[in-house]
Amino acid sequence: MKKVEFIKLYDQYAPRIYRYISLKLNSTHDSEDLTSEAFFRFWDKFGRKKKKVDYPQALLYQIAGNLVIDFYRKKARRTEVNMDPQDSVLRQIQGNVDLNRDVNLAGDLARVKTALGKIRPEYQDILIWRYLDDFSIKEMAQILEKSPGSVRILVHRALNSLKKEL
Amino acid sequence: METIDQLKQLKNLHPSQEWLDATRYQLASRVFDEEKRSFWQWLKEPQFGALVFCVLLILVGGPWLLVKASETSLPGELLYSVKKVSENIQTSMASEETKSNLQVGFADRRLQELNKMADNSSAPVDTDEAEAEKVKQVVESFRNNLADASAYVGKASKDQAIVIARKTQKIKDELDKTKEGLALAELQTELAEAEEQIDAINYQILAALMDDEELSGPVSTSTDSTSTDEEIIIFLEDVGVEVVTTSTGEIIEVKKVEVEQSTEPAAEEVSESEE
Repeated sequence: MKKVEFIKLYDQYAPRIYRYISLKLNSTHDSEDLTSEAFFRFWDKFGRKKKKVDYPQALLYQIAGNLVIDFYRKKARRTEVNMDPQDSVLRQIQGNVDLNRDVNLAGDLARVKTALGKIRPEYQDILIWRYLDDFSIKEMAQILEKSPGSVRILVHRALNSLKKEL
Repeated sequence: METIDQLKQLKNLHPSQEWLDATRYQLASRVFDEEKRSFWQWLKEPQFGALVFCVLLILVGGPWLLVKASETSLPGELLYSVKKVSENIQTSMASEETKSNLQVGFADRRLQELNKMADNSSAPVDTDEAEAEKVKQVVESFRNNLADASAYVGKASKDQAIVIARKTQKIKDELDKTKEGLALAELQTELAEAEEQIDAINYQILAALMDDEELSGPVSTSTDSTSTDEEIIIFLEDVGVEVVTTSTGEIIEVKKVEVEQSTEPAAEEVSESEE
């Protein structure tokens, strides 16, 4: 992959990967770290080779997902000072939300995020990709190597799962 | 559906522009700088050189030291097998030209070993069976080395031939000493036959050396060892090797000198033979 292409890939997907990761984590700092780490690793593994990469975004999500898993594994081994977990994320969301709206909305966002965090990781991913990243059913089917029908069903189940938590 | 709408609110999760830019910069530096730190740069780094050096030291130094240490070993010692193996390797790796020279060198080694063994052993050789067995094996190797040397002497180049000649002379001398040291009767026959082998080699060497010269007449087929020796001396003088002899022509020492000087046989030691 060419270097310029890679930088363009970053520009296009960095916000999405960041969002994907920070929906699974609670600290901005960690989310930022893992996101940049994801891109560095992508470059190391795939960027340097001459071979063309088919679905670079799929690989990015994969790397990011693995980094999150590793992160939680490591975290389980240590005890961390627990700063108010929702604070930093919440502040970010608030910063982007129209302040004229009801303050409850911000609370709402936090609630959704928490709810999302409670469902299965596979369902989390499906929902993020479908409704936040705007992947089409067809695209997701290709990346996940499933039939479009299966993907639709997964989406349906994921939504139900989330609904229960809300 | 309400759930979906709620979900879509999460779209508002954005990274800070500062961080985004900073990371972009970092990535770009890394990605574009890689061009400079290419493979060849890595090769030049001192750590790589140190690594290569250490590896070479171990790979080359280790075996070399071992072989070197084994050179003075005698049969029965651990290192002797190393010596034998290294000799085999050298033999298989040698070009046809150098094989003869190599084998003659090994033959010389055998004599050294025999002499040392004789010096070391306190009891006379024929009373100690194990020792006698070892000695016999060395003598056998000695004969084999000479046989190989003889087989390949035809392929040796002129320069090689000269070196071989020097060595065979040396061996002949030492052979006398060795005969005295080893009292075993059956070995005396072996050693006598070995001497004949050496003469055969010398004869071939002379033929090889004289090949280029347009010396007329076939070499006498009934050459006995003395005249072969003499002729070799004469030839060696010509090519700038000083042969130190006694008055009877026995070679004691062989030295290389400037070609221009006329050499005179100098008597370093006078043996019991008369003037």
